[in-house]
Amino acid sequence: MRTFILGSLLLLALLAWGLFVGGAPLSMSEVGAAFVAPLGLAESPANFITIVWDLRIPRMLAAFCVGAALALAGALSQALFRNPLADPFILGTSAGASFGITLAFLFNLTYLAPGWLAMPPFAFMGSLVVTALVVMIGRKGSALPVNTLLLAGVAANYLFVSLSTAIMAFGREILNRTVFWSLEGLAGANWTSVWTILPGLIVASIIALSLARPLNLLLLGEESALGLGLAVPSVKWLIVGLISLLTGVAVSISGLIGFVGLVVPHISRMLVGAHHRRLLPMSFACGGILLLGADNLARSILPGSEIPVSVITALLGVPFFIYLLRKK
Amino acid sequence: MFAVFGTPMTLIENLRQQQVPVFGLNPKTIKDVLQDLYNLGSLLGQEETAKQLIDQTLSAITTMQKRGSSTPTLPKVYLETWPQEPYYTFGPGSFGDDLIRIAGGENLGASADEAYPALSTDYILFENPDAIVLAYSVSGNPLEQVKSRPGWQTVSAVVQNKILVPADPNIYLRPGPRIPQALDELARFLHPNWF
Repeated sequence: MRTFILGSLLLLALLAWGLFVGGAPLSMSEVGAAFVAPLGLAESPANFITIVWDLRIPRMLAAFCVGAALALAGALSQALFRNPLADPFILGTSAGASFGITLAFLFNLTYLAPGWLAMPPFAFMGSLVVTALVVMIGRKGSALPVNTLLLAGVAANYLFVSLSTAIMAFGREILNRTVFWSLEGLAGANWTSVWTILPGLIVASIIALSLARPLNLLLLGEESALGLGLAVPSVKWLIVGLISLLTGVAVSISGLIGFVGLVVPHISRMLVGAHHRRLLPMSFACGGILLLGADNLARSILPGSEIPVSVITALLGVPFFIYLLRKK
Repeated sequence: MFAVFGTPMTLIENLRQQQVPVFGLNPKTIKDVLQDLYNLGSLLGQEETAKQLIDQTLSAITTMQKRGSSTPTLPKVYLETWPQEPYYTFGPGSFGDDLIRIAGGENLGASADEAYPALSTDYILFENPDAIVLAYSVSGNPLEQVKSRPGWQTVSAVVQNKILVPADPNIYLRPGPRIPQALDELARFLHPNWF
């Protein structure tokens, strides 16, 4: 309960802070006026209202959603592979999503659907194919040994990042679009980004939460889970699907952001233990809060401009990653 | 041999060791360009041509400045050189800053602390430019792309449809002898009543 209250207060504080950071040097009262102006409570210039309501607010929501999605995908990966180092990045799932998007750019497929649906299907397909490939390469018989799995993931990561780079050589336009999309990250976030990630995030979160008990059983080992009556193969493929969906929608709006999926489930486990009924919501919330905070920071370090949020997550995540490695 | 900005120093040194005379050019402002034109003219024995070109440019500048000084309010101009977050423009002490000022505009990037500052959408919306110049080449319709950027519909230049897509963006990007053309196009766009 205390964690919940503290977390909520932290979230509210970050949301309030985020209203004030950004290139525009708006004063406290200008932000306040723009914030309540749509309710008719104050007068504010149209461009100030746009800055607050169409740039800063959707940007914060998008950052929260991306963090939540990546952390949840990380928690699911760690349960599925029974490995504390598993996350969408290391398994090649993120690289698959970005490969899917690059392919969609190449074949001009992103115009097929309205804005919010333009990229997720391709990102989802890309991550699903790559994750499935990694699982199939990594397994030995029915077992899924951790070391081969991680090696397969690392190999897939290299392969699909290289393939994406190779596609960029196909022409200047595809190069521009891919580089734009990957460099922009959360900096280009708007309401469309929020609508892009929200449906997939909600659906995947509900299904993931309903899988809390099977996930706990999986931690006992597949044999025991099977013995306890769990349909292990279908549950495992469902989890692969969820990881791919979460990673796909996150990568669609933010590009590649590392370490959230790896680090957050560990922090969450320290806070609430390994039981998935508590671990999954905790990872969701911590991931959202962490990336929101990191993104606020990314927007406030340089005056008039910003640094990519993936730099901040890497600076926070790498020391933690090394700590995990050393602890083992 | 002439070397420009970007030529590796080691290459220049090697050439000089081979007794090849190398002259370096790296103009950043309009003043630099005129200085380089003068130097090139005397190096190549084309003093007359150089002088003509310099005089033409100077007289174009003087004409513009006269008109500008009698215009009470100057529009705030955003000269965009990169079409994506973070956007780029010309800051103080740059070629683009000179062009805007002479053609009768207030440069949106003038208050930046570097010559080629990166800007966020947040900042551009806050500054709310009256006119936008898109100095780059992209595929598709750059005008429509700007108008459809989320949040940009409140920008004064978008509301007034005051956006210039130059036929040749390079005359704004490359500090070179085409200054009169750039000034002419820019001034006609900003102040049609001057002509």
